[in-house]
Amino acid sequence: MNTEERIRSHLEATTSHLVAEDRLEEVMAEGRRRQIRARTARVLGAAAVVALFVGVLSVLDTQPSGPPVATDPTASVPPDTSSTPETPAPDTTTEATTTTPEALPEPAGVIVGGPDGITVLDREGNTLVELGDSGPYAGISWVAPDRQGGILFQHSTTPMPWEQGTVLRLAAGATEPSQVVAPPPGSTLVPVGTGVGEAGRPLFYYLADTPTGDGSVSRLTAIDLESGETRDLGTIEHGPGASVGVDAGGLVIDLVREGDCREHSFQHITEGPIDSPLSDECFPRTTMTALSADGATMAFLPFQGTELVVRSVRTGEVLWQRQVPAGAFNLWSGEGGWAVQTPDQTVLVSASGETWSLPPAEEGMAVPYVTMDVGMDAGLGGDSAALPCRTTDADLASQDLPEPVAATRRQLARLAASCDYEGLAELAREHGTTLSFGDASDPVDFWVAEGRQGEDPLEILARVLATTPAQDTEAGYWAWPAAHLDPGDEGSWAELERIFGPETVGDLRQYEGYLGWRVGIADDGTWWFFVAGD
Amino acid sequence: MTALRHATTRLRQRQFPDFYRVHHQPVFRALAATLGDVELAREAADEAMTRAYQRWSTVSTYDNAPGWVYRVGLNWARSRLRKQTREYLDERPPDNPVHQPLPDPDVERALRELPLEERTLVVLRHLMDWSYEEIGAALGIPVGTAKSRLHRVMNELRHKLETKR
Repeated sequence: MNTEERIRSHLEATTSHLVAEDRLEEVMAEGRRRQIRARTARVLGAAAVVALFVGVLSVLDTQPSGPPVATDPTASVPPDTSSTPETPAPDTTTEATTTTPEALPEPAGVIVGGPDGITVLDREGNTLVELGDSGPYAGISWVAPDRQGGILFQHSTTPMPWEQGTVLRLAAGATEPSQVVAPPPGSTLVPVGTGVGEAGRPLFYYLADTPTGDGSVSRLTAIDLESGETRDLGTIEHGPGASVGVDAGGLVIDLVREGDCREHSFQHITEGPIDSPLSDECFPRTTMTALSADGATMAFLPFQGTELVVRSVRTGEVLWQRQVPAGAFNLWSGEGGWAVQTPDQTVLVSASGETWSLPPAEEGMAVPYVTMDVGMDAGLGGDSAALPCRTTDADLASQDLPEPVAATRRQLARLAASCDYEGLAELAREHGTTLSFGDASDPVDFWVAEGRQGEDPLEILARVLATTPAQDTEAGYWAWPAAHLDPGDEGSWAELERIFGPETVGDLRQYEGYLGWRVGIADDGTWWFFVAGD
Repeated sequence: MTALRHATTRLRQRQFPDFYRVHHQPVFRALAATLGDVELAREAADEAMTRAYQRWSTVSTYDNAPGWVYRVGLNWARSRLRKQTREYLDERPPDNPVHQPLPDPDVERALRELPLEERTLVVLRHLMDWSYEEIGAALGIPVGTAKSRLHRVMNELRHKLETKR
């Protein structure tokens, strides 16, 4: 028996007797629960962090408009690299360093943001700050240093009381996060990156993506994080056709067109287009790229590859190359350098090419920072964040209901609209109301937990009670919305679209009946249920 | 969402049970062989199948959907072990070994000595019988890379096992 046969025979012998229980029903039920939770929470999709790849027809109106950001047009112009003194090459250099960009400060470590929260590591891999796995620091989809010792971040599902997609900032020394920018109504907010303007003032770039008839339009904006001033950097129309991504570093924006290969074009936000030799090249689609913090250089690394190459944006020249461990699956730019994620480690790379090996960050992203001044004591925020709720003015028009039912409906709507958690909890305990198919022994804790994951159950309760109900005469109760009892009621689905949006409702309609948030009140006025899922 | 897309989505939802019935056991066995821990493999396979169902409209279009499920399960298991033990999987003795006594202890030892990534390649090729294309699609690596890595690993195993004889 040769080696292949021995191995095959051994593997078959060690596994053929193994049987996994058929859990199809449980798997599908759990999958459905997750889908419904995600959709009803109006998840807008984990933001494509550095690049948003979408169909593009054209890039329009790239001239700045709106209040200008205070910037020094010369501050971030990439230096004339031909006259920059040569930097001694570290041992790991595989190609002679011919020129270097203006020296960036060395990174001090990485910020890791992911499903479990935010962790700040130093260059030796020691954990300096760990911002919990609950509350406002869990479920992170994007993170970056704010370049002033603080952290910018966005959630997959934004906790209450912030709007879904809001970018938050935990500023240096702060004990609670504050809002940087919320998506304009009807838009998705996609963080692009951070840069430095005049006198080191921090800039944050983002796209606000708004659906149109058969595509969408993304508006690129930069915010001065100190003054709050914004600068409109133009729009990108998305539709069927080629694709484009956006990256930013310093005052430079990189528009990445995705066709058979990737093409880069660079814009200085105050000076206009940059004539870069890199724009004449066609890069493999599997190559990851990231502009440096000052926009002067760009790193290239093939997905799963090992050759990290840094080139000058202005000259296209290769400044240095480094070998990184196998399996690289992410490349991020941050303050002072780049971070390469592999399954076994995170490699921190300075702008000059020095490297440090840190523990892996399998989920989420790792971004270099230079200065960090956030503490372990960062908490939930003010009262509104501690007890999340958006009061609502849902119109509770009179409905043709038996008086006990109508009275309970009015009471529920009033309590929900005023964010009276305790009043609702008391009523639920009194009526024995079903609030969850899981553990909801403490209604307030349950609703607050839901709120932290992006849903506002009280707002939803008020809005659902304003929809048209249906009656189950056999069971003796009324249900809001009617689609729960009568999935064929198109009017009810239309009402739900106004609450949850067409995409969410489209997903919910995949199931036999409406399984989103619903309310049941018995004929005698007993509040039977307020649940979602199945 | 258009009516057509609705119909397509519903069709795919109906196809998931078939996919599960065909691929659940093989993926579970491959995970058990890779991880060396039956209970962990069981949970990983369940979690991966749940995620596959959750994203079925997308996953069902993948060239190697079982490969995606296997990879998700493997990543989930590794992540969980790291959180629990802060030790690398390769350095950790399995809690629930797949088989005792082992049919071929030398092969078992040689496989356990491989880094997880390499053991994965061997399992996918010799237990799952996947082509290099399928392995590449499952692990997100080029076909040529899958082929050359597996070639190197097999040479290493051959050397170890034949020296042992």
